[in-house]
Amino acid sequence: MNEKKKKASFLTTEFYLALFLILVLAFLGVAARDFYSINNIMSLLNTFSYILISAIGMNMIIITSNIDVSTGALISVVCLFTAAIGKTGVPFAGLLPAAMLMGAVLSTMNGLFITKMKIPAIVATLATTQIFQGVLPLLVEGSIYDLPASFTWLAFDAKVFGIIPASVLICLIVTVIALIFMKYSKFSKKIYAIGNNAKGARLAGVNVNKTIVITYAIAGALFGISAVIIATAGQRVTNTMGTGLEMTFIAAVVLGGTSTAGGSGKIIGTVIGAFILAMIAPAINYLGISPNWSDAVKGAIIIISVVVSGAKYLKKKRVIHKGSTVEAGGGAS
Amino acid sequence: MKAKELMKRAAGGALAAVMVLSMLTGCSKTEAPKAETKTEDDASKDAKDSDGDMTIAMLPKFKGENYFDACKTGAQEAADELGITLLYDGPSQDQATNQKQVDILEGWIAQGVNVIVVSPNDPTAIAPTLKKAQDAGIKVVTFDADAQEDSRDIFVNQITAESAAKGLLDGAANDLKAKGYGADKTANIALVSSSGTDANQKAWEDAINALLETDDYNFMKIKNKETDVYYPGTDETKVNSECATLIGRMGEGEDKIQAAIGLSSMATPALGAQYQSASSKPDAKIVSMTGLATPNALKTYIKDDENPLNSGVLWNCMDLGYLAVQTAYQLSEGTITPDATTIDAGRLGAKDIVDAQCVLGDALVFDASNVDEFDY
Repeated sequence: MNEKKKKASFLTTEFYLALFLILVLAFLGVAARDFYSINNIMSLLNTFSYILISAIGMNMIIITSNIDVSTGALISVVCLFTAAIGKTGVPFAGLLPAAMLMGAVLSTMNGLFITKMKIPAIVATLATTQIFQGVLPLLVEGSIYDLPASFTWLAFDAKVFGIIPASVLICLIVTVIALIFMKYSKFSKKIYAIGNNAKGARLAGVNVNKTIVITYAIAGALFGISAVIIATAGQRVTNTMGTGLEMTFIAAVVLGGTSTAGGSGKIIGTVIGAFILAMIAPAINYLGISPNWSDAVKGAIIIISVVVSGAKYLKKKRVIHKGSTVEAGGGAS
Repeated sequence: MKAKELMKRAAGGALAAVMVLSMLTGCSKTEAPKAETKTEDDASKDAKDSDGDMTIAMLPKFKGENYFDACKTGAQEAADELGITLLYDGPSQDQATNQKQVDILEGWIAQGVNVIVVSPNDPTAIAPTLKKAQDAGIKVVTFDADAQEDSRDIFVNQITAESAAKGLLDGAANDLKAKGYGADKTANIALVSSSGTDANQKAWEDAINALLETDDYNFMKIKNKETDVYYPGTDETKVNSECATLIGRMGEGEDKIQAAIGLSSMATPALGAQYQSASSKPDAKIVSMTGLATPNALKTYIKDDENPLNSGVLWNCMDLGYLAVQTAYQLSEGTITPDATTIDAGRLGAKDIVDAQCVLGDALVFDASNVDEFDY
């Protein structure tokens, strides 16, 4: 029995996902060699970077048993804001903190609506989506064009070893910090506790509202980083830069094994989830299948993954009742 | 996704209504009272008629993209020349739906403008509203994109699909020939379209396919229509990443792509930007990129010698707006009727009208030598 349990803890959702990913990558190596061209891998990594950075923020929000559907609109606002500053020639070193701050401020608004006004997260962020989208046309009529070279520096010139996009480096730094933070910090324990049982957490002395607002603020700063990567991809920024992205982020989180009910979920799962989502569209193109299929394939993978991990969870619960409480506590590590 | 979209629209409706109202009241002093009540509306309409003052209302697919901003500039120029009032309003870019356009049209119909000039997002869904306007005695002109034929009086067409396709293929062909391709060295081309349902893009694709069959262009081919024609839709990040994928597939050889043509004003700048950010760029001496976009959106890439995006294709947007308002004015004045064969369009001179379609002219191809002359 004991041995069995050990084995089971090794066969996690993340493990299956990683296995799936390796199989797909191996298959691509045989069926579509060109997929591994430097250009394709680097542009894939760039997409992966901005998805993952935001997905980490989204993961934290979802662990607290909340959600944010305003992220796409928020990123659009931050992109325009960044472009407006960038137009004046502010270099990347200035754009990044400005965007993170703007993202954090807007996202804190979400957190305050949810905690202070007691609006359910989905309703609050749906409302702020409208506010952000409504503000966009007021901020700027249309697009910002002809942005200077200092603005597009990150995408056009900043390459580590002359080949890897700097966005990947940013992503790596964010991911490592997030891994350490979510594993060892006291704050992360609070996040998991709130997601598992908000009432219990409050009774245990956790300031639930404050923690949620801070979580949204941190996530907002991460959305800001993604926004900079997205905005600086070209010398033209429109007011639809982030449209539809929130669903990609939520999908990466869910695919990575985080329960939408909150309380569990690991960064490493999100990393793999984001990579799979970033990979599908180019993979399908290189395999010679019409790109129209990519969304359908993404959807199918998410459903299969959620069903599989759901089934596993149920099975575990049935076998050893005690184990499930251990599991819930274990989620925090 | 659909349900979410719907909710977004519903909640956005209220917001947009407020914005539309504030737009209308802000338009001009004489217009302000008209927007308030219907009874006053009729009175001011009578007054307006006796003044000989005319109001033309222009509705783009959406506001904000500099394509339509340029149309507006031309429209305003014509309005000033003719001494008429021009109303200009449209949905914001991320809410470019038929419903939003209908909401705005309803307001204008109630207001009793003289002519409505519209670029519909959906040619059939907008038809009932346009017919309602016609029943109210309002002339309807479409520009940029057509509506159902019986719901408008005249369509001001910027370009025929054939001329657009020719402009795009010429841009690619000339560049490819200069890079050594031709009858004995064929080139694979790829297209980056829009959503796959857009009437304009569909027509251009068909015309491109037809032209690729002819002797002048048959050294270029689309090898696999499934994978070499992209439909990334209108999400900025999706357009960018699909263009990046395409650029990864460009290079020398049978199984690679040698030329990319963007068919939307989002796709072409994305091609330029993604080439710029590619880690190992395909040699600009062996590949070529061109496409449809406004000059401003391509300026940086066209002027960069190391970027294979050397030319862009468009029509003169300002002239399009100008011609649309000229047509609208003359239609309302009775100088022309839908079955007229020609129109004297102010500074543009005489333009032909065929089957109630007035065509602006041929494609405008711009490159490093003239890209600075345009400011849109």
